[in-house]
Amino acid sequence: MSWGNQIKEKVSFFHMNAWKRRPNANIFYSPGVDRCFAVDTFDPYTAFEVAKILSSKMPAIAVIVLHYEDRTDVNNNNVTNFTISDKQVIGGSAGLLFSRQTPVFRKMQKPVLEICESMPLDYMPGSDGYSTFMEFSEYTKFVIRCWHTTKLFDMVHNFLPMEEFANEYLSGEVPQDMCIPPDSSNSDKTASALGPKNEIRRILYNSDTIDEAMNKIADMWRNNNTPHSFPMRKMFYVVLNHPNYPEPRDLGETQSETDLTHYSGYLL
Amino acid sequence: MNLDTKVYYTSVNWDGAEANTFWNNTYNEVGAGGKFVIDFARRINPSRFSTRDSSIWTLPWPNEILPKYKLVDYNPNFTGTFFEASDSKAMDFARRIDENNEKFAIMYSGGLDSTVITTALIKNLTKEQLKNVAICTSVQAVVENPNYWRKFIFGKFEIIDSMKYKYDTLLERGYTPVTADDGDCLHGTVLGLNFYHAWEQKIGDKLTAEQKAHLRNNLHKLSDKDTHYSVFKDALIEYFQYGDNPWWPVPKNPNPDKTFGRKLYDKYALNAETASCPVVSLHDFFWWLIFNVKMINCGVRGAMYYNDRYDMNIAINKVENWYLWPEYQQWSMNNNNNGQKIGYSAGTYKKVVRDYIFDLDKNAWYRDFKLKLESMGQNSVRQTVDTTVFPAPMHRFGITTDYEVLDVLDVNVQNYIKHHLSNFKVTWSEE
Repeated sequence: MSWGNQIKEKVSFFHMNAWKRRPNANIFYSPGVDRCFAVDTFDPYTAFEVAKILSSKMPAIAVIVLHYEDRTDVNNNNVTNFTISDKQVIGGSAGLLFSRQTPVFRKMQKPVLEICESMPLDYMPGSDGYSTFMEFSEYTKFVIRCWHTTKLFDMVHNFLPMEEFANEYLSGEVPQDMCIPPDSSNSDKTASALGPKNEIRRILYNSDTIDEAMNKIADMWRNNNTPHSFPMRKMFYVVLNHPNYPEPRDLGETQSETDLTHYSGYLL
Repeated sequence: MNLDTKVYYTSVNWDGAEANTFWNNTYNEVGAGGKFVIDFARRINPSRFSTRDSSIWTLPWPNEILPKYKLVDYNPNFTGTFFEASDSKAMDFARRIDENNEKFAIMYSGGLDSTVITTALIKNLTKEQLKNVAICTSVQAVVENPNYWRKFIFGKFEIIDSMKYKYDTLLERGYTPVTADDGDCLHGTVLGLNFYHAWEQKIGDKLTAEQKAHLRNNLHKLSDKDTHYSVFKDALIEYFQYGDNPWWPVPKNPNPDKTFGRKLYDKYALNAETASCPVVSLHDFFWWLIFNVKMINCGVRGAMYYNDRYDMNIAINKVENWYLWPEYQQWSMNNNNNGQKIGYSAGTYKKVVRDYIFDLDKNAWYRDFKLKLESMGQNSVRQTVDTTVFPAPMHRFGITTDYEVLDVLDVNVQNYIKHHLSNFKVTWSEE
């Protein structure tokens, strides 16, 4: 395999958003409601991670990579009007309706999107189900935005991803009682030992509303206010760019602090 | 202590809190000499420099060279190699194990310098002798060289987590801590590497087009024995000037000394001119800074900042600085500008070290791609210091010749500092 022209490789067909093939190629589908609830124009890997974060609230979410010939008029304003025609897409050992709590990922071989004239009977406007589904749809769009932002600040500013390497690259080769910092934020004394990226993922997984998540995230930054979490936090709020949730004033005015009795990184 | 107390070691540390307040207030109270000393800590944080030989390096306080670190007399006829020095140092450990059953804890970061230690010991010691060797390390070290870890360390040595246990614990357990912290001193300094490889980003906008062209046209001679470092003087002065927007915890100087870069260059140059061995090329210049005026810091800082309980006299003199071995010191003074210390790219820094390790591990990835990483900065020890008993690490200002640790928050120490900074003059450069 030459791998010289990646656009012609089979792997490229899992990236329908790339090379201007189509927008909104990654669509989030709920088998239980039988409607889609968000679309995504970025990479399929993060889309699938978003579905995992949402799995605390909805089982068997399907992240569908739409075919390039499928309709392109779907977007995050009208996505709940759409369903997919093939409800028995097989991947692994189960169809969508017989999957597990954790999400599934499928690449479509043909157009599957269908527009619906109304919501399913159990989820008609005015019902509890309808409002729950719409709130979930809004939360999903927020999680897509927030998780991308989180991964970006972590890639840029986490220069010591030791936990990831110890667990995923060196499993079994690091003594079990060895101290493994989650990241370079050095925030393990003032808050939990998770580090900002893992903290945010857990907050998004456990929160019920955008407001709850953002308040908890702000508290997390307050409790992890170190010199190395400072640029992470700044980038988080800038890239998130959410009009309702700018960086809280008290955080913006607070210069980061660290306990140099505890942290020795400045003792060169 | 009194105003005449002599010191072996001092440190102008920023801590982002009380120490910053003290140094900022003191800055406003003292003259140009005292201001220079504090500004020095803005440019190179922290500022802990002193000479190891008779070369000129004035300090504000009465000081003596810490005996352990006094530079050996330069022998221009020395012909030993880096390989030979490494092997002979390892054999000295073998002798100490055989004669005294001494136990060693190697501070292993996965970097070049500490890997030389483990390599030398693996090459030269018997299996029985290696039982007296433990590896004090961290997960960062594993990530820094996973192949070496898998092949030579994991499962073969006792492992001690350096992020939990400090020098005092190692000493209490009966180990001789062995550090390669002084390894850079043999070869050069990050201060130099940053200038060679990133000068355009750091000072490009401060140089004229003519100065930039001059630097570009001459930088390939950085390790040319016939090209004197003063060829680069203009750029070095700009490079040594501290910035307007320092990174925490270094505070900004609201009234910056625009002549600081020149003063620092003149101070370094005077020290280089009076050195006890030849200092000619640009790389010689940067090498001499760390080999001479920074080496005591590299040697002492482990005992000083990663040790609370152990008596400083015993700790400093018990900690084994691997590269203080006289053969290494002589090798370093006799092997500048011959390609063994640096080539033309960051990936060839410490060439002879790479070759020594390759001789054992045959890992061409490590030999040809390894970069200088600041292990000290990465290994953020999760220290627990009882500050009701011991000064916080960043508040440890110095060590007297009686091995007393001085706390910068102690009023007597503050008076001592202010007195000597007030009387300190810039004698090596024009005001």
